[in-house]
Amino acid sequence: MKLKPVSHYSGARYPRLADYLAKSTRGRTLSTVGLAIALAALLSLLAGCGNMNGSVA
Amino acid sequence: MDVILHLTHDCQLDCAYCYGGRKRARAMSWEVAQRAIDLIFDQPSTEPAPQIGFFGGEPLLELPLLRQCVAYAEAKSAATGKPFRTVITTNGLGLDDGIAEYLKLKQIEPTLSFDGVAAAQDASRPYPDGASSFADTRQAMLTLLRHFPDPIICAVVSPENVRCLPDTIDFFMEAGIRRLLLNPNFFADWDEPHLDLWRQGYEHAARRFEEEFRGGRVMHLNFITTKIVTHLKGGYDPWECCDFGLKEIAVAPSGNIYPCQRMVGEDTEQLGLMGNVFTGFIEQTCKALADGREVTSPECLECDLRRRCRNWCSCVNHRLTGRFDRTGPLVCFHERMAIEIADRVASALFAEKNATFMETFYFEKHADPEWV
Repeated sequence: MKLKPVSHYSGARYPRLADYLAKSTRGRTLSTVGLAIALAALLSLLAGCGNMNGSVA
Repeated sequence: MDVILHLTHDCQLDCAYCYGGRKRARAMSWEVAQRAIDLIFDQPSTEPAPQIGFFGGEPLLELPLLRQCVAYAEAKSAATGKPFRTVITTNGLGLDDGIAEYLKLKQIEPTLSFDGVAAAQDASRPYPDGASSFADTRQAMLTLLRHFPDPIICAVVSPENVRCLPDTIDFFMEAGIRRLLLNPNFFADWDEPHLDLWRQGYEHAARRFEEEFRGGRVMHLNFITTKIVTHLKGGYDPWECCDFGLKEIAVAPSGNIYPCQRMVGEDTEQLGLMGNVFTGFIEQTCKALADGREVTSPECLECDLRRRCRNWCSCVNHRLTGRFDRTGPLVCFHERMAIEIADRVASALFAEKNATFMETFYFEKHADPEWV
């Protein structure tokens, strides 16, 4: 088995949050910082002892 | 800075994949624990809430020490004005309603190590005499569910139990678990048939994840949720990656400090030893660890998925490749698989404008008309 770098990846057919909000009327009223905190909180939902951001190994 | 306290090297189980090494009744002294807690409260830090993690061995075997640590941290917090978080990873075997109530009272967030259905649990997590730990661990899960609305389960996925993965996922979901960590055993020997079973298990998990969202129920599976979030925000931010001793340290019962709880082991090999709570940090080692943690694999540098990949786990890298800055092919396989599956799930739910998905990941129930 080898490392297999991926090029021209296009599997994500849902927008990044910033792109979504840029087109959204609501996005203009939400702070970028507030959303960054909300996304970080989502990651921390899965963070326990010794499994930072739910990214355990 | 966060600290993980290895309260003891002892444990009631004999897990095949345990990185803690040989089990022995060697507990942390109160003096070591106190100095370790001092480390996080006495350091000037911009982080508002340092985290204290209780780990082992099995930390509940040292419950009086754990209680002493919590009381001490509360006193330090009151004196310094710094809030703190506490978490515990436990096999649950010492858990009863009284202890669960204490954990809840002190806001100590539990993660239960539980590999799933009996065949999965017994494949790797027996008692030392070979007896099954399934019924006792299931009981611990039910105890946690009585006291915590949303406990985390951490299930190790290894070649020995991967065949059971679909049943395991169903088992946890039917029990009411909404936060599930599937923790790959990257150090096992994975052959092609077992890699196929791993993918099949993840595909099953993805279907269940979609079904839950379609039913209006939020659930979090680490390999899906984290990969969706890394797409939404454009990758892991530097402070979310393992800082390998800069942001989190692990303290062995001896007081020795390591950059990661996986490197404590029996505390004899002392790979990555950063210092001791009594003598302080070894500056040269800390600098070498910090300098060597940036991933430099040429394949990684040219990969489109590099910002969403957790190839930054230095201790896994070292064990797989002998270098902190080079990841292994199995991590690469896993990350590609996780991202592909997570993106497929998220793309489908977004296309449907699934209200639960939109509310969870875009923070609004109804898709903006621009995107419909």
